[in-house]
Order: sequence, then C-alpha cells, then structure tokens
Amino acid sequence: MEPILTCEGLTKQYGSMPALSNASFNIYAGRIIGLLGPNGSGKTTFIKMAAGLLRPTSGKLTVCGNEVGVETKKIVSYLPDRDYLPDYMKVSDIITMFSDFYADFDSVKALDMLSRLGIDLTKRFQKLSKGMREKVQLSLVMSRQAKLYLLDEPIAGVDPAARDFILGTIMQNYNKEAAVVISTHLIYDIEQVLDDVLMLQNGTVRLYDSANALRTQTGMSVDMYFREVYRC
Amino acid sequence: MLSKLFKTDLRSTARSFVPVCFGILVLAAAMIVCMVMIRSSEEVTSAAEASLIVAYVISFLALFVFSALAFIIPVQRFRRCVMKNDAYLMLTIPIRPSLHIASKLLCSVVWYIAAQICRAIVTGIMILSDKSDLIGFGEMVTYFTFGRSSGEFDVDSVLYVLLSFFNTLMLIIMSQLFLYMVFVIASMSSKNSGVLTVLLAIGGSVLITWGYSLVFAMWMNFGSGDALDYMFSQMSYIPTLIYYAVLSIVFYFVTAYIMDHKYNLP
Repeated sequence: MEPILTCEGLTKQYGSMPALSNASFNIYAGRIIGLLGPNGSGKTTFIKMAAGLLRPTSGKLTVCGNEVGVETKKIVSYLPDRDYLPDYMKVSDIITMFSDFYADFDSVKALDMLSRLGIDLTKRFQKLSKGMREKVQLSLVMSRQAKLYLLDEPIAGVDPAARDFILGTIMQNYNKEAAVVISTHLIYDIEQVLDDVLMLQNGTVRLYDSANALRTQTGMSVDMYFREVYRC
Repeated sequence: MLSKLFKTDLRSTARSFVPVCFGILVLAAAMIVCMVMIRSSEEVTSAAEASLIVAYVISFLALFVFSALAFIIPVQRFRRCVMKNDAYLMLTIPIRPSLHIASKLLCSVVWYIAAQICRAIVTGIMILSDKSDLIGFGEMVTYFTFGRSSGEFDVDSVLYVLLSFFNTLMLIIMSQLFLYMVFVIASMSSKNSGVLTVLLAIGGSVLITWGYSLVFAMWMNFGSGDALDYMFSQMSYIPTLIYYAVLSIVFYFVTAYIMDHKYNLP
C-alpha cells in the first residue's frame, strides 16, 4: 500500500534551534493518527510543513508522492490551532468561498452539519461563540473529500460536549481512503478514536505504533503511557 | 482561480472603500447644490461662496484620503493574507503565490480607478461651478488636471490626462510590489523583522529614487534642453513609465520566487 504521507530525514530549524530533527515515517490511508508530545516537541511544526506553511530545512516530505505545494494543497484539509476564517464574512459566504477554492468541498455536507448544529448561516463568523467557531471550522474542514486531514489541537479550549461533537464529526466524516492526523495534549479525550500513535519529543520521533499494540505492550492506556513518558 | 481570489480580495477591501466612495459622491452632490445656489442668485452671497470653498476643501481631502486608501488597504490585505492569521487559510488554498500577489495588485488597480472616477466627477463639478472663476479654484483645478490654464479639450490635454493617469497607476503598482517584496524578505529574518522591514523600505526607496533621477537625467539629454519645459511636458512621463514597469516586473518575480521556494509563515 502506498503511503499518503512520507517523511524522510525531515528537519526544520528556526535559526539555530531545531524544531524537528531527522524525522522519518509514513502515514497510511484509513488510519487516524494521534500526533502526541509536550509543548515544543514539533507537532505544530510538522503539521504546518505538511500543510505548506513552512518549508523543511532539510529532508523530504511528500503527500501522495508529490512534494508539498499547490498539488498537495488540493488533497490536504488543514485545521489550524486558531480561528483562521475571515471574521467579517457570513458563514454562508465562507461556505461559498470554500466551494470556490476547493474542488473536493461538499457544500451539501457542510450545510447539513451546520444546520444540525443550529448555526445561523447569515451570522458573521466573529459573532459566533468560540465553541461555535471551532465547530464551524471543523465542519468545513471535514466536508472536504481530502486524502489527508491535518487537525491541529481540534479539541483545545472547548467544553466536553463540544469535544464529543468534534470527535463524532471526525469519525463520521472522514473519508476511509484518507488519513487523519490529530495533534493534541488531551489524549484521554481522543484515545478512543486513535488507530496509531506518533509521539514526538524534542523534535524527534520517540514512538510510532498502533494504539492497540502500545496498550498491549505497556499494559497502560495511551494517556497513562504519555503521562509516564513525559513526566516532569 | 485568480478570478475567485480577486473576488474574495475585492470583497474584503470593499468594506473600507465603498463608504469613502459614497462619501465623496455625497460631497459632489453638495457642491452641485452650492453651484446651483450661486448661479441662481443675482449676487453671490458670502454664505454660498463659503459653502463652495468648504465643499472644495473637503472634496480635496476626501480625494486624497481615497487615493491613499487605494494604496494602503491592498498592502494591509497582502500582509494579513501572507503573514497574519488569514495566511492559515489563504496560503493553504491550492493557488500559486504569484496569483496572491496579482490579485492584491488588481484590487489596488480597481480602487485606484474608482478613486480617479470620483476625482473626475468632483473635478468636473469644480470646474463647472467656478467657470467664471468667482473663487479662483476653477483655473487652478483646470491647470492641475490638464497641465494648462485653458479648459479646452484637445489631443494634448487628453494625452496629458492619460499619461498622468497611467504614470500614477504604475507608481502605485511599483510601490506596492516593492513593499510586498520588503515584507516577504524581512519576514525571513527570525529576529527584528520589524526593524529590517523599515530599513529595507528606506534603503530601497533611496535606491529607487536615485535610479529614477538617473533615468530622468539621461532621458532629458534626448529631449528638450530646457529642464522646466521637459518636466511639464508629456514626454517626461515616458521614461518614468518604463522605469516603473521594469522595477514592477523585477519586484513581482522576486516576491513570487521567495514565496514559492523560501517563504515560512512567521
């Protein structure tokens, strides 16, 4: 099986500070991967590089065989760790904009998700609550028929009910021929949905294995293992 | 894709421009009212005269603000889309960076043209309202618009207006591209990118001005021997236009190359 994403000796440095060092791994279709690690371990840097916002200092990063660029952006659906949609726009206009820019965007699916959330499409994005904004962003990102979903801290800063909605949305809407990478600290909340675990520490890959294998080998949940490994 | 991006950029910038444009047209209407008041009365009252002067001054200021906004807002939009939060969306849509630059430039051109249309309307009203030169503004406006005191249209005056229009447009395009390039280069520095932006902008402006003077001096040798005659002739616009166009192309490709191959979101 061809990997969706391939990293070979991937390195990113900010000045003389390494954020990611010589990382090599593959990500395959049909898997939900938890990208775990403490602050500063290189999670967001990796996601930004895969999304095309940062360029590797050295090494190779490909998505479906293409180096990150215009072609890969067509098949990568990215949710950043912040509000990133134009706040002056109405939700309905943002949907139109996504339809314009992404050929794989399913506006019917997006409208269905947003109507189930009870979001007023005529409201401006900035007028929505933080939780609602997160939900709108995730709904739009998951309404694409992408090959790779990159979700950076999708459940940070939202209440437990919203977390359930977000995880439910990810599970229900991701394309089975795609891979989903979820970066988070809140492992306990997402452990149930993870197929694989990719743990980073100081910019290097500490562990990459299936969640079940990790549980069997260590006799601990992923959350407990994380706390054990990264104990301060 | 460019048309879709342009639509998004135009919509975003229109939030600032449309109210200004509307305000200027309201002022133009106010000037027409003043003009009618002056024309209908046998004696020009001081109140009508004062109203016209106030309308003139406000119109000039509004036009200046509009023209400045036509430059500033697309630059701000570029910064937001490439360096701030909007970049998380704009730089992850499947569009080449060169199209981002082109789209912001097109926006700037559209708003510059809108500013010029407003200017033409307001100037036309000013010339008409003070045709008998009651206040002395009519002649001044005519001079600045057509490069001469006479308001009569001929080939020369049309040529002057056209060259002046394209010259300013090209200056705006060149300056915008220069600033885009400065922002992108400065953002590659991990420390003090703000200071570097200012230094690059100042240094670059000095070099551009120096180059302009050089081109101007060289061209003058081929034109009229009299510097003043040359400066006020349409001929002076031609080397400037070429100079701005060449610099614009250079800045465009340098910025696009950096964004395509080197750029990292700060």
